[in-house]
Amino acid sequence: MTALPERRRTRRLPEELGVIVALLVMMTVIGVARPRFLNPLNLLTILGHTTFLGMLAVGMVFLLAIREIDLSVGWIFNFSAVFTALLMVAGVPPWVCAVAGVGFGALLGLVNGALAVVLRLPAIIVTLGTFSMFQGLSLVVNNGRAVVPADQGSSFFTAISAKLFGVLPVPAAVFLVLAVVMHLVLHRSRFGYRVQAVGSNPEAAELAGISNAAVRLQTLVLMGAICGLSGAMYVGFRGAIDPNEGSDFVLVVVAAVIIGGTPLSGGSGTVIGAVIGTLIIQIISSGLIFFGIDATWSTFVTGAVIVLAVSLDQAVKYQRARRARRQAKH
Amino acid sequence: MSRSRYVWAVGVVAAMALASGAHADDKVTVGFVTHAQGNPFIQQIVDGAQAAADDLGVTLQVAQKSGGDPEAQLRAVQNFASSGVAGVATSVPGESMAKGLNELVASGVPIVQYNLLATSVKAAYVGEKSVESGRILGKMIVAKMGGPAAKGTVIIGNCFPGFPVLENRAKGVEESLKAAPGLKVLGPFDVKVSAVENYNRWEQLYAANPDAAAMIGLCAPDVASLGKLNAANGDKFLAGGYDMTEENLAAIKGGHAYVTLGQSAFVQGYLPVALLVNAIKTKQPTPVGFFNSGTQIVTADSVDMGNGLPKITFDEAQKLAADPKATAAYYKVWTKTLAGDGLTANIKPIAAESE
Repeated sequence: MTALPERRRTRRLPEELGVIVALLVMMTVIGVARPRFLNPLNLLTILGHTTFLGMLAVGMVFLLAIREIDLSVGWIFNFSAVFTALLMVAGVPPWVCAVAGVGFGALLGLVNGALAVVLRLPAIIVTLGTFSMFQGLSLVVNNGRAVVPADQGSSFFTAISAKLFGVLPVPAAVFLVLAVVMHLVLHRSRFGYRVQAVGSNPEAAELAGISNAAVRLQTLVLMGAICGLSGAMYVGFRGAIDPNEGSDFVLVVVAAVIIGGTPLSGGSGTVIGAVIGTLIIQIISSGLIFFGIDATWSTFVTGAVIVLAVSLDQAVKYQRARRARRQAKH
Repeated sequence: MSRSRYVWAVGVVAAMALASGAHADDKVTVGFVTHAQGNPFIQQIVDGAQAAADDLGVTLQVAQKSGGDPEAQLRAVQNFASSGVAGVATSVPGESMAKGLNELVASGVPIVQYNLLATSVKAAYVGEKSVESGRILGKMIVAKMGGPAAKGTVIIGNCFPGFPVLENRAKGVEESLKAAPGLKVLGPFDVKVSAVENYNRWEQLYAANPDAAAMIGLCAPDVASLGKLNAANGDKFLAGGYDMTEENLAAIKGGHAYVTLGQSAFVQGYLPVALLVNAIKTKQPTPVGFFNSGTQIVTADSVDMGNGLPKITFDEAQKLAADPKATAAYYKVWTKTLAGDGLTANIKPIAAESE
């Protein structure tokens, strides 16, 4: 009678406990050595830094959960932003452009999804090709130059550049809301359960009446739409989109999701973990500067701290699994 | 100690060691952000910045971002500002950095742009006259090919399509090549920035155009790649490009490349730090304007280092490219001219950069 409540209590601990601990340890270490780092304004700035990549990481969780990876996310982001900005340059109202940008991102995701489903290829192979296609088309339409909407007095730019309560950048708030919504979608909606079922055992899911093709298509479209949202907001926030922006996004996004605890083997995923993974990457980047670590060492230190963070996460998971085994024996 | 506790202890100790090992002193610190990592030309700029920091008694902290990602670079600048440095110099590989940099300028953080600029940033810019340097390179190639009567195919490569400074160089080169109507100009083609990819791209361009009479690159790795390619194919085409890196100078010395234009990497590192220190002392933002770093012209027969620097031989130029201390000593003649009003005496409107 006493073992059951004990087991329940253990289960309530969040899956992301390990990365949360790693994040807090890193913040504490940096904060103790450099108290200025813990200035709330600096922490909110770091949160702001996670926004655009973090959104992509949230979408990538769904893809990893179905054992897929989209390599073209950086260029969907870029192409959607270019599309949005060019519409603005053409005189279309900015809010309409932003919505169109999200739709355009979804369309590019649909291209990825349709190719993957029709050709029966893994998304990683399809997006290896569309990575260059989207990059190339984006360069064609922007003529290799930054696209800068001339009139930035519209309410769209004002709203996206504003700070809630004077401190929290609006894109960061949108990112947090998106993360909460997508967390609920993954763990509380029929679509989320299907995603996890397909990733867990595609054959069993198919036998249970879940169309693998439909889920893959929907997930890639969702990823595209999120890239479009991130791209449209980027134009509002920065007031321009450069031809090479997004080129390096994919590695950081996948790293953030994996650091956050989503397994490459599929079947499960954690949106909250991905958010924390993105934060860890940004905090490493910020910490290197606060510590004044030489640029030639910074690449090594970045990797080493990531390994340390993942080790902490694994240590916590190991500890929890051992405790669970012990309780099961009793 | 249990295994998990051991892992925890190691993690915390390692992190604390990292913290305690960090550099901290009472000197003013300035941040310096680059758009490439492991690039010899960028390293020469950093060496120039370090020389300025040593001369002016400040601490230089460098952050290097690979791939020319404007967003990552802006984040590094913002992190520097949050960490309390007194000013930041950064190359600006994209217009999307402008808004964020202007916010920092407005908040009182001295900013200097170098090498790559956004014209809307309200801060000083140190760099070459990009269109003009392209014109110089194009003129030298045309002259070597026989002047206005020159004939043949000329291929232009750009390692980073979309970078305004590189697009301006291409524009200048193309303008000068028009002086010889018999020249057929192809490109600019994307030849990528990494040394391996850069060579592969040029190799493919040559394979597709084996009759090419000249090949012109706009970035640091090009002259070295073109030199190797020329050497492997019997030195059949004229090669020209940019930057005085050791590899580029070696290609010229070996007779496999004709010309390389330097953009005074040392000046592009030294001057931003000097401008920042001046801004910090006077508690004023850096002046909005263009500081021409000068163009250097190097062939196997002549070396023009620009900026009124003493004449040197090709061998001496090669030695300087490999020795930051010797370079700093050589530039003393120029750094002395920055004393007093000399620092800001030659400021021009930003638009002059692309004239």
